[in-house]
Amino acid sequence: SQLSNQRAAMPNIKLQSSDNEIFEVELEIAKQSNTIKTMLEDLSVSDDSDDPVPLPNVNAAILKKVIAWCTHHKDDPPPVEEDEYKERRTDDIPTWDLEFMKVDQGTLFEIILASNYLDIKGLLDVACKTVANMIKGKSPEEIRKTFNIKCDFTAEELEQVRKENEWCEEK
Amino acid sequence: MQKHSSVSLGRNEADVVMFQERCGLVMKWFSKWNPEQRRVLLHELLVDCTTKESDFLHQHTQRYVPQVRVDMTVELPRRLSLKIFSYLDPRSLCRCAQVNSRWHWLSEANEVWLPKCNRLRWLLPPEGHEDIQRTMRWTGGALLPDGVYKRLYRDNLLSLQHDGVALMERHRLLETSRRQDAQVEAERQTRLETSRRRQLPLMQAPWHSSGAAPAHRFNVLDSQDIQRMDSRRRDPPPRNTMRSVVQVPSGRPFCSSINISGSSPERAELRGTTATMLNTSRSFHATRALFSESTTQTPAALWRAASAAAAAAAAASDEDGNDEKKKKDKKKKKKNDKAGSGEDESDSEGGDKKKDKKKKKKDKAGSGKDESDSDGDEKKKDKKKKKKKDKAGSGKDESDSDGDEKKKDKKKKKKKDKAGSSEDESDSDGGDKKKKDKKKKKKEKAGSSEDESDSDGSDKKKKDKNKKKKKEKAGSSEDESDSDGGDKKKKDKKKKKKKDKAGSGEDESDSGAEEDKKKKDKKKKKKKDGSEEEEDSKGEGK
Repeated sequence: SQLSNQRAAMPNIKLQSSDNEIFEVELEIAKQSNTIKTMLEDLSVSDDSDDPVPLPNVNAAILKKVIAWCTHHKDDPPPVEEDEYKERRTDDIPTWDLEFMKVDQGTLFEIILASNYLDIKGLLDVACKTVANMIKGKSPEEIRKTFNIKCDFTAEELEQVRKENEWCEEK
Repeated sequence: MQKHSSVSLGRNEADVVMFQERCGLVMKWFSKWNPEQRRVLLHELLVDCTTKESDFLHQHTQRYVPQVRVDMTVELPRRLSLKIFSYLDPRSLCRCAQVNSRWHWLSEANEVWLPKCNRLRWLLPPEGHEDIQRTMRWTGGALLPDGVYKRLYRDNLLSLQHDGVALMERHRLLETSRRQDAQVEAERQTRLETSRRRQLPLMQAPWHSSGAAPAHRFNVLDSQDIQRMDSRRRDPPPRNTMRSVVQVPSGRPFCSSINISGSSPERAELRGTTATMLNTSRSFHATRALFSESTTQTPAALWRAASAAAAAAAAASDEDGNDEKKKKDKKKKKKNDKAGSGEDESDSEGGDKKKDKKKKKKDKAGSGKDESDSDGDEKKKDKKKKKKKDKAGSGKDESDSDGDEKKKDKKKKKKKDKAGSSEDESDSDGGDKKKKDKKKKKKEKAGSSEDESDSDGSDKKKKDKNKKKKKEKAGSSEDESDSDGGDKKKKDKKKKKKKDKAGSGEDESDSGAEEDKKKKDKKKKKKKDGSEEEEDSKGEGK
């Protein structure tokens, strides 16, 4: 693939996807994943070892995406621990990430899973924000349509739930 | 036709350019069409596609069009679903609860609502609700049933709504107050730091320090808002079964949790007349400033601050001569807190001298007052002076019997001004007067710049505003603008005195003289005044 062809001055690392495709990535880029970072530290893998790091939970398509994101964000400052009291915003996604997240829902959710597994906080946050933005401001029926969800409430239950949550609607 | 252009694509530079132009043209049209027209074109294109092209289209659309619709809550573990939900606002969460049973279960999660409640400082009572108690017993207090925090949030919000303000507006208010709190806290931190930094090397009188900003300065509006929000937070109408227990967190700013003048009677006053409102706010500022100051100081200073706060509060409610008292208290405080006690002795002498000088000046001023009071009580003197000047002036005092002492004070001041500058009016119009006033004030500034060396640029701006207001409203709204505590009051006092003296100075320079001369005279006087005033203030402090 493209990425494996790139030869940089930085020490590289090989990542193996679940479908056995191997990606060669700069070590610094790969270390944005806390999972890979700890793996390397704990196993004290030497930089020049040719053994690829197996990532059995991520397929090639998603790993490619993840690597692309990490490459673009390699110079970002390390993410700060979020304050619980701080309001969580969803309107602060950078333009590049907005473009990056223009994928189908399946890919988006796989990115969420992969970034969770690889422990890449920035990517996970952006992906979750993207999904939240898909939910925000929609009516229950619109949400059902957006995510292809079947309503399993009975008519009475639905009415009850609607009344329960009436307080949040503007009068 | 189309084939021709596609065949020629890539062969010739000009053709490539032409193709690009045409593409651009199509896109331009496309972007300007309405949705229906666009759909028609897309359909035409699709119909026109070969199988290869539609294959390409299929692959391509998968990448760009989010076709696949999946219920992510099924795909994702609960923790990740909740992370997504944590980015949602309460309204969206309530709508999510109506989607289906799984979404209902997720959107009620305490993990989602707890931060929202905490952010607004809405905490569960330790032994509040039956449900909670039961579950606490069952789970050993480790787990709460889902939906508890959602209900807490709803109940608190509805109790706020009870006031008659729309939900979202209220929510916004709370959010802004939270932001303001954070801002105030940050400001306080920086202020504390700067004051600490300043206090360590020079334990001198404040007017000797060269720091950029005074140690305590609050924005009236901010603090009033905070006061209001605090009161709201502290006692939302208890209408629900799960009462909100509002925490007074340890991390909160000390001064805002003290809030002495924010007690309920005073708060009631807030809603009253502007005069009383300003009074309370001023005393509030006084106490607040002093307390924030005293946090870094000795118990003795603390006690002094407390007594000063009490005095200020008393002065606020006191109908008689409250301004003077407060000023004096402030000055005393400052001196006691920051200046060594050794300075006071030397100051007292200076103060006496000043008094003498003042007397002389007043005699010179030709107002014909023999001030024989040589006791150390400056207050009395001031009052007498004022009264005498009033009498010397137009003597309309008796005519205005507003009952409101403050107003009277203001009017007196006005009259003094008028009386003082009555000579002006004889040879120059009102505009000239104003100009002169302005000049005077500028000179004052220069004169008292030693005092003000610790005030920053914004401070000066404020002062300027004060001055302008004074000129324009002629005292009717003086008190509105000066709410920054001791410094300003001091200055106001000085201004008044200076105006008086300047007025009397004009007496000396005789009404027929040229304006230039007057100005010069004034300058001289002001310089003198400036230096005297400083000493004077010290003397009073004693």
